[in-house]
Amino acid sequence: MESASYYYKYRRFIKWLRLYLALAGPGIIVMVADNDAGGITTYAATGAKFGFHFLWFILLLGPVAYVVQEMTVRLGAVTKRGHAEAIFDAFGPFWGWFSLIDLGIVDFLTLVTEFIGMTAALKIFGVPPVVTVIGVAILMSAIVMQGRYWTWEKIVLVFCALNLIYIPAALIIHPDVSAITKGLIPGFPTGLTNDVFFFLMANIGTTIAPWMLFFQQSSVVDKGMTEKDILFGKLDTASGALFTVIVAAFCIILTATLLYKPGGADIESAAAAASAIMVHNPFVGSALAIGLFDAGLLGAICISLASSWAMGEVFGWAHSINNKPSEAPMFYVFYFLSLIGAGIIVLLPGSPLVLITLFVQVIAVTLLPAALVFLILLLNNEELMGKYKNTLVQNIFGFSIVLMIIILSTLYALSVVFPELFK
Amino acid sequence: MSENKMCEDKGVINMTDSVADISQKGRIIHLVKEWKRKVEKINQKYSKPRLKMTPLVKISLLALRIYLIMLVIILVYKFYTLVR
Repeated sequence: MESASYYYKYRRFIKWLRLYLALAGPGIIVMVADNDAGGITTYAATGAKFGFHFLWFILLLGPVAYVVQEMTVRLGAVTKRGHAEAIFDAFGPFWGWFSLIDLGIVDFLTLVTEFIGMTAALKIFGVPPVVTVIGVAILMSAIVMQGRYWTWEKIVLVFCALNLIYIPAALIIHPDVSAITKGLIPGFPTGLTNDVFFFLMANIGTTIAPWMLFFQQSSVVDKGMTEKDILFGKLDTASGALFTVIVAAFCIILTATLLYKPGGADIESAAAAASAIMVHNPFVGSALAIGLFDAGLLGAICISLASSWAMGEVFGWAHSINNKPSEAPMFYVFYFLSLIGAGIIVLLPGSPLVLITLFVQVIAVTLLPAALVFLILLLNNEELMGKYKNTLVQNIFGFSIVLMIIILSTLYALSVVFPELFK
Repeated sequence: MSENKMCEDKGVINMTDSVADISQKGRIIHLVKEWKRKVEKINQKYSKPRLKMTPLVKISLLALRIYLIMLVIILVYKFYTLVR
């Protein structure tokens, strides 16, 4: 009798697990893609500059990202609308156009930075930038044009798994476990200097980007998730948040072990870190470069889709990955144009790539606060959300986190515009 | 005779060019008009915000406007100091 009960529990668990695996995807993808080329550069620079000191801070960023992204899951599942359309509908054309145009600019510039990361990563292996750009454009077209959301998602999840390359790479260099343990205890061993503050702001800045809100909500809608799938959506987002902080922590462990020296080492980019490591340990250097390429690719896939979905929602074009190019021509035209445009800018000799990389942070901060405030307001609207609206506890966490992100990301953008501000 | 023919040919070529030019211009104007119509349609569709303008919503939107204006002022100042 008891064994029969265990059997049914087991069968129920397997059924539940299957359902979870079928519904998992948007949360993991958005969180892993958050560790894009810019993110990996920030983590690599943090490890080289401060060693293991701020591992605790990186782990805290997981719950922060979860609280924000979980709201997009509920909003998408209940309203069946992407974030761009939801803003138009709830706040009118002024805020709608502001968000859509700003998103288009931010996403395009971020896409350029992803291409910069990918070309720099493959340059380490002797691949010319033009080959990288053409190869990536063909790969991304092939992934998206097969006409099924499910297939697209599973292919992208394979690229997400490749992000785990930092774990074996960090483990084979035998990092100092006691130093890592100390790094997990919150504190500021070097004091809260301007440098520390700048790096903490940069890490916060890479945790939540405007495109993430638009991408996950549209992705939830395109996947066809409904109210009854919200629990699985939350689990998916939580798994993604855990995944992303683990990858970030191992990336920091890697550069902290190999590049950190007393007083801190300054590195320009993740590609520069990979080249420096390559001299001493080709496997680990290659792993960092492959990870950087993968991060850029995931970022590029998600960012270009976030813009295309948003445009499709507002202009009323067919805008699903389940549509073939002939069924949703404008959606795919916009997708390819942004992809090709970003690739050409990276290849053009004399392009102001450093300026673009800095400019992204500034432009992003014009959209992020607005998108976050709209999210909180929408989630508090009973008429729209019904019983899925924010509870008091969710609001306390949500408001605090949104306020913190707005303040720190604004300060970070200001430090980019006025570099002497925090020196 | 052959000179006349050449002139006529040139005329034909010029006329064809201008017709192509006009049709190109026309196509662009048509495209711009179509986009304008589309934007107007979107503006009309969302002209009445669905969210009730409670004090919280009004304050949040006002704060956002002030925040964005401040950002623009800072960026313009930076641009001005760079140019100077």
